[in-house]
This record gives sequence, structure tokens and C-alpha cells, in this order.
Amino acid sequence: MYKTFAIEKISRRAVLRGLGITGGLVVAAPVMSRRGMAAYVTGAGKMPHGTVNNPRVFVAITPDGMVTIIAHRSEMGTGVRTSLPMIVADEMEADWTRVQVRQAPGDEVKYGNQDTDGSRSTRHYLIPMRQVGAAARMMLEAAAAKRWNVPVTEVKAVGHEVVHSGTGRKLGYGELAADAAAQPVVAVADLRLKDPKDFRYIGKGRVSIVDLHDITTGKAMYGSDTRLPGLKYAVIARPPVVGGKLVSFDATDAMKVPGVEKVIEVRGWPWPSKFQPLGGVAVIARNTGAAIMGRDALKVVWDDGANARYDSIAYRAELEDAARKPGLVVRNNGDPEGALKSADKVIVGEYYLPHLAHASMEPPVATARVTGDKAEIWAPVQSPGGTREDVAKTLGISPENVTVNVTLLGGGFGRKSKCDFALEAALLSKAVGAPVKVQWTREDDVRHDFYHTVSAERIEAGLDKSGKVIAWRHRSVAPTIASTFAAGAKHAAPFELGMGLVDLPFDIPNIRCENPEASAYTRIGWFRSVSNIPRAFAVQSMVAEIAQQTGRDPKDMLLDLIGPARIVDTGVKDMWDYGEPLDSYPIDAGRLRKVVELVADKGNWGRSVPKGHGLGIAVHRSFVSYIATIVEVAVDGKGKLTIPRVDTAIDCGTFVNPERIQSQIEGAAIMGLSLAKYGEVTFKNGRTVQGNFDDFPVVRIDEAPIVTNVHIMPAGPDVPPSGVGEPGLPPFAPALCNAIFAATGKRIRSLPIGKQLEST
Amino acid sequence: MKKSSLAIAAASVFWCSAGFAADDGTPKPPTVGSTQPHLGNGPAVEKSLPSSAPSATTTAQTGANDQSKAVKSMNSEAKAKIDVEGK
Repeated sequence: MYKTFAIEKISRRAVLRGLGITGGLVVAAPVMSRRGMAAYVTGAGKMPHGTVNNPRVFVAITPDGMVTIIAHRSEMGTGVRTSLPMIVADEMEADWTRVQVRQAPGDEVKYGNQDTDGSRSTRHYLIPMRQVGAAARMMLEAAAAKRWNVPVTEVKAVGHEVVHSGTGRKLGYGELAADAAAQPVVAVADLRLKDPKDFRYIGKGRVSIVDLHDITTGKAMYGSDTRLPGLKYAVIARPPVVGGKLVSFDATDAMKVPGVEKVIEVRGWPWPSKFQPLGGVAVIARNTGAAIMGRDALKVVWDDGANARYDSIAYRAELEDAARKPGLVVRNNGDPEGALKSADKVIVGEYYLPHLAHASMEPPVATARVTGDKAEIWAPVQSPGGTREDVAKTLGISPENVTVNVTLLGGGFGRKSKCDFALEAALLSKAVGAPVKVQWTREDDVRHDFYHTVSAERIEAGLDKSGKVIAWRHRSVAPTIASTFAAGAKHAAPFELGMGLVDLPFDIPNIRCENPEASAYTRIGWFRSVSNIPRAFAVQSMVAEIAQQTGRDPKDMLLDLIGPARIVDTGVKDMWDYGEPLDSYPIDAGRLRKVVELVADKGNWGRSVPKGHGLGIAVHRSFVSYIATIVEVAVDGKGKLTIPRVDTAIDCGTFVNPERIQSQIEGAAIMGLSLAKYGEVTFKNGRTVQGNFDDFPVVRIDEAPIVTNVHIMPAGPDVPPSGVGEPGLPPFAPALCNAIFAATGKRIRSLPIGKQLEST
Repeated sequence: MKKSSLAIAAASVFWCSAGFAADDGTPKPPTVGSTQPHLGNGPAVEKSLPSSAPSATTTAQTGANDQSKAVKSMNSEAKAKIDVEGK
């Protein structure tokens, strides 16, 4: 498979701060001071437990010179377990070949916030990790200067040793370790950060992930690999309907299965109950296979509860009907109602996107050992700090008595931000008085997920006689993630509104965004890119529909709607901007334009393609990054879809590891294609219909994009870093479906594509 | 791959110990047409009580309010957290 990525040679655009001024008023972008303070502010300080920049927490050096750096975020394929320590190593002038990475347990008081989600690990920890490395370097330099009895200004750390400029004497980091540890930690205000031109690793793309060898040789430790003396293995029969509960069970046949030792009830909680277990019947056995067979032999009676009539076909009609009626106004600029009435032409697009299951390759799994008032957990969790707190609360013990060991995650996508599987293991370990591993099967995973929401999106665009869009009304209706924490929640939470709805960056004088009510009947949770998925699909499909109906080129239409380079003022009070201050992370129409222009240039937009092929384009800002994608499709006479080429341009500000940016964008293309082609979870009688990859497929290697080119917008250290893990997903589906329209004339407004192309 | 191998090995051991195949020692070709052992689908016999649940509409009040004090606290903390973090 041919693939490329490139950091483009483009003159760096400055940050524009000319609100409403055509062309923008260019002022100097905030420049990172060489002192220890960052020139920009992120939302990291508002996160629970904030950030920690103490080198004593993150760095250890042994006398042999081996540097150990702590990774406090969870590795689920993004490479964060490499990228954050790499920042420290670069800043402290450590030789990467003499660095080892150790995973932190869940302890946010010590390490700061550990929630590995929201595409924010690098954006929140670039500066703290640089400060950690700089402090460690300066402590090593101070130790060497003291040893040689020379001014510290005469010594310099270079490549894992400190050199005296006057004499050329050198001391290795191992030789200085003990003395450096005795040095006081340098205050942030006194730190000297490296000049970015001297970076060895940051931004270079030369470092493989630290787990690469173990992963590729089968040595890597995932959640299922945990083994403990006396370990019991459990699977759980959970209520098939969220909110349901166990009435009775007969374990007679289950207990006859060789290896099954015990069958017990697992406590459930009335829904919604955050991440508490659903409850049910646990089969405890000497191995997982026996536990599964034991569960298969159970006889269970459930009370399905109040959600027993959740039916996806009927609920879709409800959602679409709600989208045709006025809803809660969450953004209003100008007079959209009047403009729509007076418009020369109104184009309406209605879009539907179903529930999705995370279906990470590794299903949820956790091992717990509860003894007395202490608990130890081994689990692939995205939020080890949150897991620690929830285990403590569930068991009624102190968080200090809970240790959460984080294994590698075989994918996460937001599912493993919810620690219900760890809570199950803790409850069962306490109940049986032995360590217990709870293994979810694929069916458990798909049927008992915290699902990506289901949504209907309706957009009306009013055009004047010249074809210019003068009015835009977007109604977005979907059950909210807040329903997982609050009974009766019917409207989107502020963070959901800020994901592609109220932050619309278009230069249209009359804009209204509405959010009609939508009650939840199952557990709704974060899913990679969250609400950006349906919003980007609707908005970017609509742009192409307008272009088609007005005879415009889709890329030109898109640029016209984005308008001139400027900072976008949505007029929404206290708009949620991914938890970041708008001063540091404004909605920058100039950056949005640039990625469209870059992908159009590198992706050779407008090139002639063979019959049956088509090009589609889409752009979206999410997680404060800017991403544009062009997809080329080929659709044969039988409706078979193939993807000859994908081009994506990303502006994520300052970046650390371009190799990982490439892999995340490639992954987003494959995941985006899977979801667009096949992704759909439906409910009947309150139960999830799908259960495994036979009815919730993912694309196979022969369906994957043949070429995926990634074009990275260059950035200096003055530009705050932004997200990479999630932003690649939202523009993929609309670019794909726009390409399908170009190839076939068939407009896909409802996902998944499924068999919709068979009639073309 | 190690994990696959382990899984296959574990399954093999399990199948033997469970005595599913009355193995007379004669090599047999694999069953053609299905590779799914129908394993892990959940309880063989699941029943639900008759339900009087209402239809699922976009406007109905859903969710329970009779949680324990501890869960109510966890819910409200989580709700407050997402208003800041988003996720």
C-alpha cells in the first residue's frame, strides 16, 4: 500500500486577529518565550487536577545513565505513550536510545489530569512536559557545575552528558544522577526552554513508538494479558435493555459446565447511573471459555423496564419529525427566518446518522484484586484517575487504597473512558474473595455499549438571486450524553453544541441553530469525534448540494461560504470551544481556508478521473484543529465502492510527532470508511440488534483506501498545539459521499451507505 | 500472533475438556460452511416479563430518579465535569 505524508513548505500564516475585517488585521502571533512560561494559555488548568510539571514526578536517572520517563496518559494507538516522554527527552537533552518509558498508575493528585480523551494530551501537556525536561536538564547542569566548581553558565547539557565549555570536560547523566536529584527543582519562571531549532525529536518524525517491538512480537501487555495467582475468570449476562433488571435465574445447567465454580448476581443500579455496572448474572470459572459456556447455559428472566419499546425505525421517524419543527435556539445571527422567507431559493437537506458501537479490537476487560479495604485494578482504561475514584466510591473505600494499573488499550475511541467493566471486576473480586478478571465478549461489547448517539440533522439554506447563501438554519436533534448522568436530559450539553453546530464558521449574515428535544433510551457516550460526526456530515454534504444546485464547483462553494480570513464571532455567549480559551484557540477562518487550499493543491482537485470515479471534498474544524479531506471513489456497475485515493490536509498547530499524525489520519480514513459503509446499531424491543462483526462490519484490507496522503501544515512554536486523534474522522464521510455523488449522481443523506449504491 | 494463538489454544483445551466431540481418534475434515461456534451469545434461555413500557418518543421523560445517594453524587459530579471538560 502506497502512502505518503509531508510537512508542506508553506509560509506560515500568522494568527489573524482582525475581527470582521476583510483580509484580517495581521499582528504578531504570540511567540513562545524561551523562558519557562508559555505565551499562550490552554484549558489544561480547568481540568480536574490540572497539570503537573515537577521533574521529580516524571523523570528518574539511574547511575548507568538510563533515563526513565513516566507516561501518565493511556496508550490506545495514538502514540501518546511515546510523544509525551519524547518531549521531556528532547528538552532535557536525553539520548532517546537510553530512555525507557514507564506507565503511571491512576493518581491525578500526583500526575495531574489523566483523562486520555478529547484529543488534548499534547495540547495540554506540550508545555508542562517541556518544563519537566528543561528543569531536569538544568538540575543536571547545576550538579555538574557544582562538581567542577565552575559557574553554571559555563556548562551545557548536550546528548546525555554535560560539557564544560572551558575545558571540554564531560560528565554523563548517570554520573550526575545522584547530585542532580539533590538540586532544588528550578522554578518555572527561571526555566530556560530549548530553542526550537535545536529540537532533536519534536516535530521530526524520526521516533518509532516505544511499544512497537512488543506489539509486533506479541509481548505487549493488554488488558486480557493480566495473570494473577488464584485468578478467577468471569463473564456476565447483563440485562438486554438499559434500565432493565434481573428477576430470577437458574444456574443448574451452568454449574454443570466443567470449570464453572460459581454463579452470582451482580448488582445493578437504576439508569442513569454514570458508569455503574448494568448488573446481571456473573459466571465465575477457572478460565474464560468455561465462564462463557456457563453463561450460555443460564436460564434468566428479566424485567426490561421503561425502555422496552425503544425501536430504531419508530424513533428515527420521531427524530426526523422533531427536526422539522422549531427547537431550542442555540445560535441566532441576523434574521434567518425573514431571510429564508424572502430568499429566491431555499435548499433543504435532511440527514440521518444511526447509533454506532465503538467496537475496539480489544473488548472491555478488567482484572481486580480486592482485599479488605484495598483494591488493585489492571485494566485498559482511558481515565485511570476517574477509575480510581469510581472504584473507591463503589466499594466504599478511600481512593488512596485503590491502585489502578493501566495496560495497553487495544483501541478505545471513548469506550474505555467509562470504567463500568473495572467496577464489575472490583465488585466480583470482593464478592468471591479472590482476584477476578471480567472479560467482555464481542457480543457483550456491541450490545452493552455507551453508544454514539443517533441523530437527525436538517439544514435549510436560503439563496438570493445571484446564488449567494443569505440564510442558514440548522436543526440538530439527538439524545445527549448528559442523559448518562441526568434523568430527563433532552437537550444537547454545551460541549455537544460546540461540536460543529454553533461554531459554524461560515460567512452568512443570517444563521440560526436549533436543538429540538430528544429523549434517550439507551446509554449514550463519547465516541471518537462525538457530535462532530453528524454535524460535519450534514454541513459538508449541504455545501456540496448547494454547489450542485447552483452549478458551482464544490471547493469554490466551500471557500465562498467560509469567506475571508478572519476570526469568526458566532455571537454565542460562553461558547464551548473544546474547553480552550478562545483567545488562544479562536475560530480562524483563515486557517480553515488554508487547509482547503492545501488539500485542493496537493490532492489535485479538479483532476480528470475515469468514468465511474468521482472526487468529493469536505472540511471541518474540531478539537481546535483544521482538517480538509478529498476522497476519490470508484463505483462500478453493480454499486461496488472502492477508494483509489484519499488526501487530507491538517493544521494542528505545533506538532510533536508527524509520523503519528500520519497514522491517525490513515486510521481515521479507514474507520470513517467503515462507519460510512456499514456502521449502524439499531434497537428493537429495547434490545441492540447487532452483536458481532457479521452484522456490525468493519472494512477489510481489500476495501481500504489504496492511497492515503497526509499533508501537514507547518507550524512554528508560536502556534498552540491542537487535536490529532479525533479530527480526521468528521470530514471523511461527507467527502466520501460527495465523491459518490460526483461519480454516480446518487446523493447519500442517510448513513450507513449499506446497499444504497446497488440501485445506481 | 500471540493473542490469537493463545485464544486458539485455550479454546482447544476447553473444547476437549468439555467433551463436545465424541472423538474416536479418526482425523476428520473441518466442518464446511460455518466457522462460528455459536459461543458467547449469552444465556440460551432468556425471558422477559410482560412489559407495559411506553413508546419511545423524543419528548418522554426517561431515566430514574431513585438512585442511591452515592450514585446521585457521582451523576452530578460527572454532569458538572462534562460542562467543563466536555468529555
